[in-house]
Amino acid sequence: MENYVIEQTEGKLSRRAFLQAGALTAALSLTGCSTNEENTLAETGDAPITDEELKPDADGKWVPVSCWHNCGGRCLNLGYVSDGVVIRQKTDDTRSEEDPLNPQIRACQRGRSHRQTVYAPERIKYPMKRKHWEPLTGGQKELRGKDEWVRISWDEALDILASELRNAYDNYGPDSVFCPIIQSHATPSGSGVLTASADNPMLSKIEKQFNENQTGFYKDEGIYAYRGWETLSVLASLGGYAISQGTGSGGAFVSMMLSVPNLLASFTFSGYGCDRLTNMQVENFVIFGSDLAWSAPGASTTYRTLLQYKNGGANFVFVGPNYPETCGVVDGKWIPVRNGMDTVLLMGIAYAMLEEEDELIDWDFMDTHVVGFDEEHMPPDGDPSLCYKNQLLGKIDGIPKTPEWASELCGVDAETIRELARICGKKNKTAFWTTPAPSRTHAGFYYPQAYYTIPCLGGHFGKAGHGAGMGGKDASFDAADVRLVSMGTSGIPKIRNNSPIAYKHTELWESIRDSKYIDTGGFAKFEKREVRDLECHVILNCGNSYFCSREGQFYAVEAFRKVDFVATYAMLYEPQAQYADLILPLSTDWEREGGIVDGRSRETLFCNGPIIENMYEGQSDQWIATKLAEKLGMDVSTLFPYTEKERLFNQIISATTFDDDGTTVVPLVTVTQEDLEKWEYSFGEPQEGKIGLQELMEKGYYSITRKEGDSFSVIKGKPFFDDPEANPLPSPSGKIELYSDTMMTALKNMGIDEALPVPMFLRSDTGWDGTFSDFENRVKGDYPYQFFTPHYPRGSHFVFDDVPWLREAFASPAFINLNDAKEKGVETGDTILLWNENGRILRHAAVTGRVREGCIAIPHGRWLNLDETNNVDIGGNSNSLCKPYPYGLSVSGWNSNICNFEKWDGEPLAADCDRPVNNYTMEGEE
Amino acid sequence: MERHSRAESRETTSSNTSGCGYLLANRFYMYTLAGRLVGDEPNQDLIDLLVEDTTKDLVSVFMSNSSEAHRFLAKITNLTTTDGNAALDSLMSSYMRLFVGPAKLPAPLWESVYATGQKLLFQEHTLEVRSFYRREGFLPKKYRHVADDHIAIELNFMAALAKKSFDEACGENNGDEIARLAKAQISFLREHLTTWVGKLADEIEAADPNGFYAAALSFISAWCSKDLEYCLSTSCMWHQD
Repeated sequence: MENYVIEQTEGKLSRRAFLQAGALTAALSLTGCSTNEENTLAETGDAPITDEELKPDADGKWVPVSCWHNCGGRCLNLGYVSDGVVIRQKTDDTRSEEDPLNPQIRACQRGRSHRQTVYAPERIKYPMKRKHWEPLTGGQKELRGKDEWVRISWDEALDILASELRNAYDNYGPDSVFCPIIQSHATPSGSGVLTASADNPMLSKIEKQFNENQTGFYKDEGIYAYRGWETLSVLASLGGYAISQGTGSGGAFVSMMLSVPNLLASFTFSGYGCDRLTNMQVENFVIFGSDLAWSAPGASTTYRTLLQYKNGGANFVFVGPNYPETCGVVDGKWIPVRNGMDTVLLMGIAYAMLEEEDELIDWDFMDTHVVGFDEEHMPPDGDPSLCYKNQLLGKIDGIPKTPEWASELCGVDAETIRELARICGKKNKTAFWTTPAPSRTHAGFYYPQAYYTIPCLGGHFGKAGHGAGMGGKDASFDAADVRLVSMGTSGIPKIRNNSPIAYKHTELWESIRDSKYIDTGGFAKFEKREVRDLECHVILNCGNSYFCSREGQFYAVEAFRKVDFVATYAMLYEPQAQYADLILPLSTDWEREGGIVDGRSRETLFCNGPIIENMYEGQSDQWIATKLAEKLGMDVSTLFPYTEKERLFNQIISATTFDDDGTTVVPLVTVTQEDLEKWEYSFGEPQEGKIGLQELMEKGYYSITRKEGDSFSVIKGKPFFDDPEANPLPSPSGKIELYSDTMMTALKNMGIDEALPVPMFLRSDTGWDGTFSDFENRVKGDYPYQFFTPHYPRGSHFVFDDVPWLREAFASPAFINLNDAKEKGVETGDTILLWNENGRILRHAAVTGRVREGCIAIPHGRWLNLDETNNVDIGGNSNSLCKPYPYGLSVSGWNSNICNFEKWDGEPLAADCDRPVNNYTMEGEE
Repeated sequence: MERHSRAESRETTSSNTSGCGYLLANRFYMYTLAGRLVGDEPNQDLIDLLVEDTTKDLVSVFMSNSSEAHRFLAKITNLTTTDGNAALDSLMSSYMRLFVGPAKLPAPLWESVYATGQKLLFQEHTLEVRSFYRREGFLPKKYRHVADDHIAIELNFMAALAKKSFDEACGENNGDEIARLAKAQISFLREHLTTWVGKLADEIEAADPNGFYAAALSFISAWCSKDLEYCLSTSCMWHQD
């Protein structure tokens, strides 16, 4: 035997080795030596399995899987699960593609690439701590973002987090702990914005209406991209935590909502649109700042709704600085306005309507429904001399706001403005839609007033074929906030946050970096501007991802490197994990008990059960919060009285919809005694609903099928528009107010002395006017180009930027006008440097005629990838350039910024898909 | 645990432990060692194991003409000549960067990545690997929480089968079972380990030129290929007539 072996291997095996009894002993003693259990195998004890049984697909089935991000849509995704693995995905193929009454809810490229997120090799698999971190001081804090990592146990990680928090609360108090979290979670009602302003009677009056109107945004777990409140409950129990406050994607509509009650009461947050079937009667759509094909291509809004209107004969006008792909889909007309200048354009349209008032303006409607436009119709205490008509006619500042005046500023020629005015006239069936995008500008406070003035003048409210709404993405062109099917509540109490600190997004990172706090009189109030000392010691990223997503990315790096301790809950190695001291691995939604969520479409709700097991050591928010609370010696049963499974069932059993009469609220889900037993749920009784529990969990959605003439059509605000005396609005006058002393006072308090109660062209450092060093003589300055930051198909805000398929399919270049590029000698594909005083980024140029001259489109959502040697963000995050600008009501002005650009003379940038999403510097050094 | 032993030739009592039994046991040793190399964070135990003569002997004996083995042995020798703490620290840094992250992994350690070209865990390919384990009565201890086709799990699977072969050959000595186990090991090497570990080794080499783990991976790749040869040439003799 021995000889045979040696012969067979031509003597390469040493006889000596085989005869080493010692080696044999050593070999066998290795059993069990591995220190890493996750790489070991266990014997199943099963008999051998046949090949047929082993076929991977043998036990496979399609199950609903969630897409849990905040793109603005919500769609049906299904995963084929075999032996606990989702091996492929598909979307809604259950219904006719073309049936407008019961349309498919097709997912986009983002939802359908979720396997690349959930199963990414770079999932955060274990708790990690930064190698040169030291307890309580942070150790070498300057290494945040480029340090090495050490894998640690959950127990050690939770000990670290608990002791750092304990130290901060004991020594510095609750205000020293900052949690980047959307403001709605700051208070127990889930509507922090209103509770925080509850002493304002106007807001109290409309609070109920407002809360009922939200599409789930302010309900618990409505859009469960906004997670993390579980840990906030723990922090609230410790005494509270500093939050941040801003306008987010809602722009000036949010500042209006928070701080200008009479306008909110006049327009509501989302305006007066109609449902999607009623909109079939519209002949002209005038659309501002919207490109659904880019921002929310799933959920079929673009194709389902707009194409139906198009096929029904409707015409479309799209206003914005770049040509929307959606405009191409419906063969619309593009009005290329300078970004940030929509208010000026709308003022020009209003003036043009006055020029042809007999033909265009519905004075009867204005007379009965609107105040603040002319001297004869003013709100209580309003100054008639400051009415909007006087402003338009130049009676306030001597400058008539003619189409010619508007044209010079907004870049749309005067005749086009007059044509638009005619489309908006009273004789047409015209409906208006705006996203908040045109108001996501630093000086855009007057946009809501200017926008709603036009449909008021044309009398386009309260009737089918007309209307004017506001909302993004899948909420567009449907009365999405008048829901037909709604999820229930989880029953988990939210603990009130008692810290008064709310950093403004427009100066968040500099405040933390410089240990300052700017108080303007309280949450969302603008009464004064007072700077005081406040040191932030801990940043806990347990919810939103603000590190990349707020203005001033470079300042965020400085702020993160300033504080004593940074911890981040993360599914992936996103930048705010990269710049932390401690990373706690989060499970994805696919790994949890399941979820239920309202669609952005009012007709639909989505639901799914558990899909796969936790990847590696990832855990849910509730698990982490529970363990943290235990470490801190809290009573966990009070904080979290329900398990995650019970919490989900609470939401399912309390979900509601309407009966066919359109008014009777009924339970959505039929629950049997057997269901209760199967779910081991002991908090409810069997109930009768519209869909069985099992069917809902298997299908993954419930949709109301619309019928012609059903009871679900909506013309928002109809009671008021039909009879304004009997059904007044909650505004002081009971009517739509185009005038706001509150707005004027707030702006004056913030130093804008020239502010008016009606729309005006406000100068700012970051608008078109900001590109000039001498505006009056039109002499260009250091940053002669405007830029804006559109939503882009690669991602949903900052989610998905690391997904290989999406990086490959959507290159995310900077889109530059032909003439601007020519002047700089830049061609498509060139690497360009874009810069201003806030930072520097690299992108490839995409030279195009689809962006207005002088305006650059820099898609938002790229992850910071800081090359510290060259001080340039090669990841191309637009927030590396966006100016944190606490101007007026502190709107996050992502669509009004200025910069310069030139061809990059360094090493050309690799395509995003050909380079790692992060850690460029580390790799570059090696 | 006694695992250090200088070569001491001596006869043993069982007939099979004197021939292929040693081969099988030593294969088990090699796979377990390989599994630990890539699957465990480096620690002093692992370094002790690497620098001891058994390991060096086995590596040089099994793969006497292999440049990969010589390179790996040279790296092991380096470990003994470097300051202990510094060596471990440096190994740990490389291990974290190359194999754990959390930053982008230059060369993910899962077969599905190389089999499909998609940088993705838990693909259909993963289930094929799982099927292999299941057929032999194994599943990863963290079944469904970890992807089955991680290189360390695959190497540990080979170790487990080598151990089974050894136990069978030295125990019941059932010819059919020994042949079945040999066939399984040959298939697993052919269909899985030898199809991708070479690509992985190349990628690690690119990410960590001439580093310890580059040498370790190319050694492991060479070992898998070599072992396939051993299995093909000797497995018919694993059963002792």
